[in-house]
Amino acid sequence: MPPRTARPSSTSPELLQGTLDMMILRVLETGGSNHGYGIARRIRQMSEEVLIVEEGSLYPALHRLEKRGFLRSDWRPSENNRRAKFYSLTGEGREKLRTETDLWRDLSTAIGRVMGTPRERGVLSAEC
Amino acid sequence: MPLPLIQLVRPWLPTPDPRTDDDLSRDLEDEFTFHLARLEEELAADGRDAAAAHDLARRRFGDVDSIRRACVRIARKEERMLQKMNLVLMIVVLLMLAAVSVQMWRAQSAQTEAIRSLGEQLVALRVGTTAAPTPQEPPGQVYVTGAVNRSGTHNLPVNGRMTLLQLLSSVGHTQIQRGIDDIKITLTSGTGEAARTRIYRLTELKAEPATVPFLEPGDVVDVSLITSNLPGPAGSASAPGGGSTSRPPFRVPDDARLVGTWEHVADQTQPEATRWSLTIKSTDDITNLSGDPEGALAAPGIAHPIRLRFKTSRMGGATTNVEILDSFETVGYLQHGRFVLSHDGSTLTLNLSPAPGAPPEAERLVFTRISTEENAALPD
Repeated sequence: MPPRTARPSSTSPELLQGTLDMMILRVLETGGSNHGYGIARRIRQMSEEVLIVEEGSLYPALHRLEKRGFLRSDWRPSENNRRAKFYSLTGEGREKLRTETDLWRDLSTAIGRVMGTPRERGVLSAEC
Repeated sequence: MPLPLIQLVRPWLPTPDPRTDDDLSRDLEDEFTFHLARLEEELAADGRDAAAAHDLARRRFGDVDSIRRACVRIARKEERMLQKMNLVLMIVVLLMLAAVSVQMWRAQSAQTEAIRSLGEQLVALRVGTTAAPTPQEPPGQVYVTGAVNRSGTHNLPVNGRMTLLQLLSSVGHTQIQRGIDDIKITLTSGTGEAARTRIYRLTELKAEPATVPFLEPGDVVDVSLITSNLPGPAGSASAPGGGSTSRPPFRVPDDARLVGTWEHVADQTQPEATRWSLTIKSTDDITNLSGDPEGALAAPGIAHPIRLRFKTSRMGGATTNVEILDSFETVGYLQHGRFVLSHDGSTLTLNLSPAPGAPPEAERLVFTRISTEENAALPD
């Protein structure tokens, strides 16, 4: 399942699945190794409570990235001294994140050009 | 499940998850439990009681079983792929084995059949029951009539070559004996306008085997006997036990005519050759020829006369026969010759064959009768 957003939207699953992988890699790059709960929480915090990752999407994504060699995992005690599975970024994962980030930026820039600024959208609406 | 075939290519395949199903389930359970516990703590920290936080955490987490199944599918993806590859490889190998088995079976069947056939042939050979070779169609037939033991239709041999004498031996002819001077053989070839008749005498054919003709399909051979009581002038009949000494010496009859018409006659034995034929006709009874008469042929413009020497001889004690001896001594372009005496004794035919390179003047040859004195002067 794609990550939930606080606001209703009609984004495509394919786009959001790749986006979820990219965000997981980004969280682990910026915050270091983390467990599933920590990764979901971190995404929510970094998106300022806009993106809420559902666990039904998070864990299959984590296991898929690990299977592909972008993540590695190990079991160790968490901050509250519970046994937890921590995921960390591999070299391949960093390279994958760099590629995906470039693609995302190009894509978001292109989409932004098409959609225009809020002021421009108001002018277009008035003309119509 | 053992994967013997996959083991061969495993180094080039992705490594499946080494964990057992129990270990994998335990890991997933621990991971989800940790997540739920942290989520409960977070919700409780927001002021919810423990039970509400517990329920809300599970609702927010979702269906644990479906998430677990999704994770197991991912973990076992390579293994499932390897199992499918193994199955496909097994099927391919089985198909190849089946194909090879079929080929081997067919080869063995063919070999067995060949051995069986060979065995049958060997058995047939041993008991002498081998199938007779398919008889070949004879190239043709000839027809024999007259004084033979087995008249009728006779097949030519497979190679198509049979001489007139061979045919006579085959059908059985009357032997020349007392009262039978010779055997006349009339050979007719072709039909209609193309029909051609040749007459031979058995004694002549036996004396000169090279002149014995080969038979052709469709030839008709008539055999008749020449007996001592042939019609002729008085005194011509041979006396009982007669010999050459009882006959008068040969002389060329005064009214003998030399018919100098040279004609080309196709030679059956040598189709490419031609043959000259000259007929000497006499009103006299030339069956009384005896001694060693000689004749001569002269050609205008040719320095040396062509000497023809012939003599009579007696065969069978009662038959006068004429044959050529040492036919042409001085002229190279006449190769050989042969006398043919007609049945009634009135015609003596001399057949001459030209030698290779004979000049055109040879066709203008004329006979010049020479006297007895001249005959006597001729060298032997």
